[in-house]
Amino acid sequence: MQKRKLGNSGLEVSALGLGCMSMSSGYGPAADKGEMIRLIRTAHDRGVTHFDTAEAYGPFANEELVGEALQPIRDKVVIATKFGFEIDLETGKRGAGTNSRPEHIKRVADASLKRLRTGHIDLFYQHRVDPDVPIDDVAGALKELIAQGKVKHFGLSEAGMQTIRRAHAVQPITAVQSEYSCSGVVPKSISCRPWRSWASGSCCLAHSAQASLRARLTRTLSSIQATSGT
Amino acid sequence: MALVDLVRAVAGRKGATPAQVALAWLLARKPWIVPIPGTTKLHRLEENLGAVNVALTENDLKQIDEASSRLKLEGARLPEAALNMTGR
Repeated sequence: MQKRKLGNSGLEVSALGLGCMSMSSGYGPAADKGEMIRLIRTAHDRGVTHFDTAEAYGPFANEELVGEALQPIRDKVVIATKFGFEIDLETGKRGAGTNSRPEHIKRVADASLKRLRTGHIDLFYQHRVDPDVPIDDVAGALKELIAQGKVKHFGLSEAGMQTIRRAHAVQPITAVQSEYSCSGVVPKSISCRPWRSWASGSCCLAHSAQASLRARLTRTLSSIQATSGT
Repeated sequence: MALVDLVRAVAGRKGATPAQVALAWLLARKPWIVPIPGTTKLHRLEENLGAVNVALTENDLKQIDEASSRLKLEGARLPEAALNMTGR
C-alpha cells in the first residue's frame, strides 16, 4: 500500500491505518480475541503498517490485544497509543475525567510499553486535553520520554489550536488526531489523522476554510453508513 | 439527501461502495491525512482497504464539495462537556 509521511518527522505509515478500539470496547460487546489477532495480522499482510489503540480502550485490554497481535512483526509496524484519562494503573478502574500530570504520564508510558510488549511507543497521544495541567507540562513530559527512547513521537487528540501551538513550541507534534475540529490552521509540520472517518460521521480538519464543508460531508457520510446497515 | 445520492452515484460509477468513496475523499484532501477506520470484521477491512484504489477525479471532488456546501449543518460536533476538554 502507498505510504504517507506524518508531519516533518520522517514517520512513514500506510495511507490507511487500522483503528483497533472497537475490538475491545467502544461499540457493543468485545469481539473474540483470537479472531481479532488474526484480523490485525491480516491487515498487516494487506499492507497496513500502523495501528491505533489507547490505554483507555478496555481499559488496558485493547493494548494487550494489539501488543500480542503485533509482537511477531513489531519492527515492521507503527504503534500509536494514548494516555491522559484518570485510570487506576493497578486495577484499570476508570476515575473521573482526565489525568495528564507529568508523573502520571510517565507511569502510563511504562505500563503501556509492557502491555504492548515493546521497548518503544512510536506515537504517544494525549487522549484529551487536561484542563488541570498546562499543556506545556504535558509536552515537557513527552520531551523526557522521547529523550529516554521510550516514545518516538508526540501527538494530540481532540485538541484546539491554542493547545496545539503551545505544545508544539515545547515538543514538536507529529500528528493530531481529531474528528473534524482543528478550528484553525494546523502548523504545516503536523499531520492529521482522522478517526471514525465515516463510522460516526467525523474526520479531521486542517484548514478553517474547509471546516464546514468537511463537517457537512462527513456527517452526511455517516448517515450513508447508517443506512447501509453497518 | 442530495449529497448522499451523489456519493452513491460516484460510488456506482467507480464500482466502489459509499464508504470507500468517503475514505477515498479523505485521502484526496491532503497528502498528510491518514484515516484510521476501525472494524472487527474481515469484509469491512477488505472494503476499507479497497478505498486506496478508488481514484476520485477533480470533477468527482468538485461535485462532492458543491453538494456538501449546500447542506445545512446542525448541532455541535461534540457534546459541550467534551468540547470544553479540547482546550479550544
